[in-house]
Amino acid sequence: MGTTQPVTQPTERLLAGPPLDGRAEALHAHTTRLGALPHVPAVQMIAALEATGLRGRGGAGFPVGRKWRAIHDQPGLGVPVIVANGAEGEPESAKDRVLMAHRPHLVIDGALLAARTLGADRVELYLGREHTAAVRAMKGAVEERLKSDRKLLHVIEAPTGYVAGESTAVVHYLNSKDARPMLTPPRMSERGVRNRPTLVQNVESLAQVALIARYGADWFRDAGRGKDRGTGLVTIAGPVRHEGVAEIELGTPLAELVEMAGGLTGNPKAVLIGGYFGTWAPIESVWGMPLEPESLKAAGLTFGCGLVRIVDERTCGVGYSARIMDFLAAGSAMQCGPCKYGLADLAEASGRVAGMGAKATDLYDIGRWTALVTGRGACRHPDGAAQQMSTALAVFADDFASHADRRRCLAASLIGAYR
Amino acid sequence: MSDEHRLKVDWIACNGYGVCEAAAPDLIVLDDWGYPILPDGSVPRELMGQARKAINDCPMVALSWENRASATGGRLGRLRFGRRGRG
Repeated sequence: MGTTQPVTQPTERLLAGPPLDGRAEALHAHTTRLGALPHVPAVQMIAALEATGLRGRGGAGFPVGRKWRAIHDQPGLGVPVIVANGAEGEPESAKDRVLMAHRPHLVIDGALLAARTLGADRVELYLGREHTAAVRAMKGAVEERLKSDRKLLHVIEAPTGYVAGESTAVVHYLNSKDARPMLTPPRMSERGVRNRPTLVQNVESLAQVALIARYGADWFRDAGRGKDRGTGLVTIAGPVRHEGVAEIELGTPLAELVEMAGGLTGNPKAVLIGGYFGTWAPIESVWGMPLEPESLKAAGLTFGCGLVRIVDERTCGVGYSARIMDFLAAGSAMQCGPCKYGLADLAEASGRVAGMGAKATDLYDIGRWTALVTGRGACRHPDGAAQQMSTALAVFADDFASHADRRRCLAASLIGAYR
Repeated sequence: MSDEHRLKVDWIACNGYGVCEAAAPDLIVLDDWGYPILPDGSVPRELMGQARKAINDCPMVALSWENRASATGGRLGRLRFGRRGRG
C-alpha cells in the first residue's frame, strides 16, 4: 500500500509552499504566500469556473462551474448548504488527506468562496474520522479563521467506509446520521441537506477554486497538456522509488509520472487507474498515456480519483482484483439486491479462482455477473466494482485462465513458488 | 416527452419477491438473486396490461413508470411513500 509521502516535482500549485512534512500551513503563512481571499462577485466567479473547465476531483468528474450555476440560477428553494467532501474512502488514494493535512486553508478558502458565491449560510467540512492528521489540520485551520467565518464552518467526522463519501450518502448522513446512498431524485442541487439546495464538492476541487479566485481562469488553463486543463493531485503506488501523492499537470504521461516518482523498481505489468472503481490496463498500452480525463476516457479508461496503482509481474492480478472485489462487496451499503448479493457472489467466485479452488462455472459467472450488476443500484457502487473486475478479467486473462484451469499462478511461478 | 413507456425499479425498495415476474412473465425475468431484469426499451402496447399488473402487484411499491407523465392516477403518492419508508 502506498505511503503518503509527497513526491517532489515541478508543477506545484496546490502543493506549492512550505515542505510537506506533516505540518499544516498556518493561516498567516497561507495569506502571506497567496494573499487574502479576494471577494469575487458571484456571476464572475461562476463564469471563471466555467471558463476553466475544472471538473470535480472526487471521482465522477462533473464540471464544477455547471454544478455551481445550477444552484445559483434557481433562487427560491432555500438558503444553500455547502459540503466540502473530504471523506476519501479509496483505500489506496491519499491525495485528499495529504492536501487537507498540509494546506487546509486552501480547502477552507474554496468552501468559503462557494458559500459567498451561492449565498450559503452553512459549510459542512465532511471528513473521514480515521484520517486523523487531516481532521486535526482542518479543525486547527477553522480555529484560526475570523469569528464570522467560523460560524459558517462545521467539521463533521464521518464514518469509515467506501460508500460513505458518495455524494448522496454524504447528504443522507448529514440529515439522518445514515451514511448510505439514496436514490438520486430529488436532486441535491434542489433539495439536499435539511431539504435545502446543497453543493457537495470534493476538497481538491475547492482548493483549485481558491487559486482560480486569486489568479483567474487563464492562469488556471496555462497548465495542462490535453483538453482538461490545470493541475491535479494523483496518488502513485506500486514498484516506484517514491510512492505517494504528486501534483501533475493534467495530461502528463504515465511514464513521466513514474519518473517523477523516482523511476521503477520492478518490472511493471499492468496499471489500475482511477481507484477501486477504476480500470485496469496493460502497462504497454498506457505507458505514454496522458493522465487526463478526456484522453483516458477516449481509451476506455477513467481518471477517477487520480489513483495510479502499478502492479509488477510478480504481483498476481487475480489475487489483487479479487481482494478489491472482496473490499467492495463488504463496502456495499447492502440496500440494493443486485449489489448486496451480486458483489458477494463476485467476491466469492473471484476468491475461489485466486485461491486455486475455482468451480468450473466461476470464470463464466464472473463475466456474466459483472454485466448483471451494472446499472442496477441506487448509486454507482456496483457499476464501479464491476468495471474493476471486468477490466481485470481482460488484462489478466492468462492469469485467470491459468488459475482456473491449471491451478497455477503465473506470478508466483516467477518468484519460484513452484518448482 | 415521448410516448415511450419504460419501467424502472426503486432498487432500495425492491426485496426480490419476484411478484413482478409472475404478473408480467413476457416482460420481466429474474436474475440469479431473484431481482427483476427489465426490458431494455419501451414496453410494447400489447404488454401494457402485464406491466400495469406488475406495478400494482409489487408489495414493496418498487416498480413504476420511468416517465412520470405516463404514471396513472394514485401512483405518485404511493411511490413517494414507498421511498420514504425505506429511506
